[in-house]
Amino acid sequence: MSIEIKGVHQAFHGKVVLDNLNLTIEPNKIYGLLGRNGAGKSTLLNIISDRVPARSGAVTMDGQSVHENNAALGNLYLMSEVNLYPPRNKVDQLFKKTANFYGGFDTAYAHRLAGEFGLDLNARFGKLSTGYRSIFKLIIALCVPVDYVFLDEPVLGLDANHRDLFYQELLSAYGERPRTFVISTHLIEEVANLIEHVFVLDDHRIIINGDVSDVLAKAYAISGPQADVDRYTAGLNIIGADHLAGIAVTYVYGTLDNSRPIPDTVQVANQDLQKLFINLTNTTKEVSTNVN
Amino acid sequence: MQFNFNSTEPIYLQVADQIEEAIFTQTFAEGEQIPSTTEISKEFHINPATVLKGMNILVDANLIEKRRGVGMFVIAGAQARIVEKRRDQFYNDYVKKLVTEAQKLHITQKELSELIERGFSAS
Amino acid sequence: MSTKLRATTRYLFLEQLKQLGQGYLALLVIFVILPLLVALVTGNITNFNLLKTVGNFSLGAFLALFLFILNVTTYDVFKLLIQNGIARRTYWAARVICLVVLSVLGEAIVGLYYYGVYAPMHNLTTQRALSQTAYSLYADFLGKNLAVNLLAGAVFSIILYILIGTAGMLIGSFLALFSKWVQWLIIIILPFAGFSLLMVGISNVSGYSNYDFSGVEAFFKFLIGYPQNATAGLFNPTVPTITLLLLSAVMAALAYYCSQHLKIKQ
Repeated sequence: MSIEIKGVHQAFHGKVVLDNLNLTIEPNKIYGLLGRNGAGKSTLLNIISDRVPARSGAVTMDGQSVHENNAALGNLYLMSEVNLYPPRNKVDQLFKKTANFYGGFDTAYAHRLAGEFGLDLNARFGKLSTGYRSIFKLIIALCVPVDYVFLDEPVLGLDANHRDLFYQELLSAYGERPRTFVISTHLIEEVANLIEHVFVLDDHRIIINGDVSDVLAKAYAISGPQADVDRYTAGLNIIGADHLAGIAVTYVYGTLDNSRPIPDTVQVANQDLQKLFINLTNTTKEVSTNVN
Repeated sequence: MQFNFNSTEPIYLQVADQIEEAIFTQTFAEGEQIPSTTEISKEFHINPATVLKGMNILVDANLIEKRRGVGMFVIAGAQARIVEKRRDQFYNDYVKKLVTEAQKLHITQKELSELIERGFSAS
Repeated sequence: MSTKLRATTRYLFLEQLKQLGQGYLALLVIFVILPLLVALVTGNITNFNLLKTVGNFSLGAFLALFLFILNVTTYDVFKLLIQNGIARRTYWAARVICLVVLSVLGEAIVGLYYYGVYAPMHNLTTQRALSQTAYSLYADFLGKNLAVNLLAGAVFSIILYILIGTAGMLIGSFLALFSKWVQWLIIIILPFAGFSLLMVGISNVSGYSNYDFSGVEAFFKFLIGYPQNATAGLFNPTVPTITLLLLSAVMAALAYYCSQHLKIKQ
């Protein structure tokens, strides 16, 4: 019971977009899929949902290939930035169509959510603003009877209140009926506590794949006078550095050297997910090659 | 319940700490039910698995218990146990640091005792 | 039929039925209501013959055009279906089913109109009217029984509609594999290239005027079911029917192959 991505490789016009990717997406977990623009997140999601078949490699759900597989495709929903709904259809009409194709839909919940977000059921999809298109697709994502929900930039165009409401509804829906959510977003701080497991996609490869708490336990920020910090972090996996008025902060990803005493002048703290992400995916290549 | 989270300490430890604090201040009285995993998860946008991990620390510490199909409840004597634990920690967390700092400032043992007495009479 | 195929077919059929209705409505507005209004406004109402206007539709040609355009449209439907977890092959199967059903249904409407309205208004007997359809070459082959001939004519028309529909499906599925820009390029260049090729072919062939074309001629006679010394109406429809069915099957198979490569464009 899981979605397996095995050796998925994709290139467009000779440019590699996904470089031999391997991933497992387990049932009933909330995942974060993080990556900078152009890292390949959307392509990965398009391959998983068979919108774009992979050049090589395979995506399976419970051991069966998802390619051209109604049972697998009907058990996942991808909310994407691209709009695939007919612009002339009305919101409620599209709810009904979704119910027809997916063989079920929580219409009562969809109507309640539409009320909470202020989405007009009689509005035509094409006339909705970017924010309300997101809201419309989010509502479908929460109401379709699938076990795997993929959300690509789910809060695009949503104001702070609606984002807050969405995260709350996501966790409430998850509490009611546990299922897998994979959230791909640039707003890392907003989802950092929401997700259980994190994938970081950088330069077309997965560079982080682990439980958020495990990953953050290995992400240190070591600060103090430059010389002392340098001495303490020498030889460790340094992923970034900051300098603030005479104080140096060096970011380390990996285990510290427990045999070294921590100097009195040096402070060891943890990085948060966003800081870790920025450090790991900064374009300075000599730094990011230190990963793993 | 009022949760204040910082971003550098593991969230499940913070969940455990905050619930423990609420039991200590009797916001959650003994024998009473505490908010469910889903409620805390929804309210503070924390993954339910993380909340559960935090709660399990308190279950292991014998402060809360799970009643099947109902929820988590504060165990009788939980507050006393927290007080006891915090007394143990008091020496390490405060007294040691107090003495170290006093020595840096060349405060003698006698002067420190006087300062502590002053602190008591002021409060 | 699997639940997904049933859901997809039902969706597609209802959409297409709605579009067919809109098509008929447009036909009525353009050819009846607008001329009527124009006649009213210009005071020419005495010259306007409503009956004659209504009796002059060629609904069969309209249906053929409709089925062709309907089946060229591919990508927009694919988008909605893949968003809803429907496989490409299910989409293809649903399209084929809808095409067959719509061809039968459409031919029923065409037949009712043609023999019920058109023929009497043009003072044609039913058998005479049948001799003016695509089935004209074969209209008398099955004997004098009118019902049998009408049914055979209807079946022949349905197969023609299916062929036209599958041709549209193939063109649509093929074009959907390319970007808008390349699609236009193909639409403009392909007919031009084909025409040029034909011209080159003709100019080459004209140099060999003593070349024996009797083999090609015989083959075409075989295809349209021309027996020795038969008059029009008595041709044998067996071979053409089989040929049309085979062609439809080939088109549908090629459309299937193309639709397997459909993907969401970035």
